[in-house]
Amino acid sequence: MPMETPRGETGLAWQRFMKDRAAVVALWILGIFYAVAILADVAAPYTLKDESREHPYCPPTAVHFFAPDGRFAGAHVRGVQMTYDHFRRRIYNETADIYPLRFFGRGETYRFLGAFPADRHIITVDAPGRIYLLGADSRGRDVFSRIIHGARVSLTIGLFGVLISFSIGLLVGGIAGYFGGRTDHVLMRLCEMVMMVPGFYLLLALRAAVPDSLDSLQVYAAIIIILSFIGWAGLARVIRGMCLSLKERDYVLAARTMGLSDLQIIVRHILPHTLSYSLAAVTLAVPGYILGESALSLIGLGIQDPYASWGNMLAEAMSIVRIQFAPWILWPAFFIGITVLCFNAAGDALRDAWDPLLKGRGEGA
Amino acid sequence: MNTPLLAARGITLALRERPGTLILNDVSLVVPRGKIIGVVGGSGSGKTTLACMLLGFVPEAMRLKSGQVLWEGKNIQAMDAHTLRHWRGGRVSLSFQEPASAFDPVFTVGDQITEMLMAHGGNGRARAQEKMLEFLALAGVDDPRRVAAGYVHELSGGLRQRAMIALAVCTRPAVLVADEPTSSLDVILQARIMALFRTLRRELDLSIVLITHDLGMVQRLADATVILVRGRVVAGDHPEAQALLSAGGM
Ligand SMILES: Nc1ncnc2c1ncn2[C@@H]1O[C@H](COP(=O)(O)OP(=O)(O)OP(=O)(O)O)[C@@H](O)[C@H]1O
Ligand SMILES: [Mg+2]
Repeated sequence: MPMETPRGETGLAWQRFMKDRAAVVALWILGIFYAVAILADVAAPYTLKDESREHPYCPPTAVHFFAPDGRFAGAHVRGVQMTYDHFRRRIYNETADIYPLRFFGRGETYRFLGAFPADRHIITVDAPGRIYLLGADSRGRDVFSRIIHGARVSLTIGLFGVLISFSIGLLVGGIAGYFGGRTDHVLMRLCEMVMMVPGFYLLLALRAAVPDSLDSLQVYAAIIIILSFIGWAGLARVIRGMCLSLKERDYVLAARTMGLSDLQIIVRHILPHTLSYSLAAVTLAVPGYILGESALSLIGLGIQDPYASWGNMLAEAMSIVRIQFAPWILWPAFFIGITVLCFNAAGDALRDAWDPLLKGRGEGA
Repeated sequence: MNTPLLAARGITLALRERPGTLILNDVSLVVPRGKIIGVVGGSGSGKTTLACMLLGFVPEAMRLKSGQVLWEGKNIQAMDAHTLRHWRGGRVSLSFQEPASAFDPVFTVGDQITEMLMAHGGNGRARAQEKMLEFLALAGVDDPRRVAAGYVHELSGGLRQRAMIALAVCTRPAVLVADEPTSSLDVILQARIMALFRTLRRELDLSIVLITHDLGMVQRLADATVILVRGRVVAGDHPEAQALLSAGGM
């Protein structure tokens, strides 16, 4: 048997997926984002605690190679001096001080992956120099560093949220579709009740039900649970529809004649067949969670300072005046946008990659 | 007279949509211990429907109007869900007419036989996998490891059929209902499957309900034969039975 061709439908679908340029690029971008999020402590020049009151809204730092006198000095940044112009706007002027960029140099200490202490950062400069690759916020905190730290929250909330709501959705949909009748009726009315309430109001109502005096980890968990609570119903309905037709398949009847239990049949012989659809749906659902977190954090109900998330960073950008003077505080919105686009591109491609197979299988059965 | 292992009494099934159309009409069947009972009939005569009924499954589109299935003299409808679940697969099993669709395409054939062995008789995974290979070999598969690692679409029709039989007999049931086990196979494979059934009957003390449209084959193998014509049991001198016989005997 020739083995070089990938076996089964998964292999074929994957091949088709890889042919989709946009999806592959999206996958790479997401891969890089997640890798950076995991290694946030090393990747970010500064820790979350870092701030510099002398540098509010400092614009992005330029990287120079030649000293002011024209001699080559390697990659470096200059010191900055803040003054006010006659409109009392902050003006930053570069000084002649040179602070060479240090790669994997020593900076603030942190616990690497939460475990062992370390102080290396991919890019850093020696104090009192500051490096603001994407500018600074109102308290002189590095936007670039906070975006990297915030990625941990913003990117993982989507994954965990989807994981929870889809486990619920799959199980509820599977049970409703497989058993049918009264079970189906009750479960579907429940789904409809959840779906009837507009998402954002439900979000606010549920958040109001959670006490304010939570630490950041609890808030993080609460947000995930709240978002999952909203998300499962839609999937449950679709999975239920698929199960209604899947349970007519011969191999389901075969499994029943073999005396397998209902739960075993649902989990082993029905739900795996919805996987292609669910995988695409999961991918397409992640952006909803990211945006949901952003929305909560933006209005101050989500992750709180000093912890960063892309949503709470944008809370600063709610004033048009600030955006005018310091447009770089909008960078988190850019990253939210890119992430959402990437998940959508990957999800679409996944769906397309599986689609012809789904059709083919329907005719074959 | 001792009670037969499995018996169907006066099974009458109608379509849900058109209650006037009877798919099975007063069908009775007795399966004594250790015997091979042939069920013959043309296409659409209700053989597969009867096979499902023998395991207590009424097809979704149909309704049971009357009749019952008895196991050791007791109505299976009186069994509780737990007993019924272990009875199916454990005591009676069904080998499907089309193994291609009866195996789940996302798991290997071996996985599914192993799953069955683990569900019945409390085998651990390692033990179940060993037994799975034994039963594939017993069912006449020459290279059990390769077949076990394959997905159903990767196997030839003959191998699928034998894997299906291995799946059906691996829990050592007392009755095997075999729905057209040879109709998609060439004569050599047919002969092998026939020989396999004789072996299984001898080694596992198995009763077999052999469903086929080939009356000739049933006559060579079966201890008793039931002829189905359009959902009805008829005698051997019925004209349509004669037609089946002459066609099969050629
Ligand atoms: N879901 C269904 N809806 C309507 N009619 C059905 C359905 N399933 C089976 N039938 C009808 O019931 C009759 C018996 O079907 P069955 O599959 O039992 O025949 P069979 O003897 O196994 O035929 P074959 O030899 O072709 O396998 C047929 O006339 C068929 O059209
Ligand atoms: Mg049939």
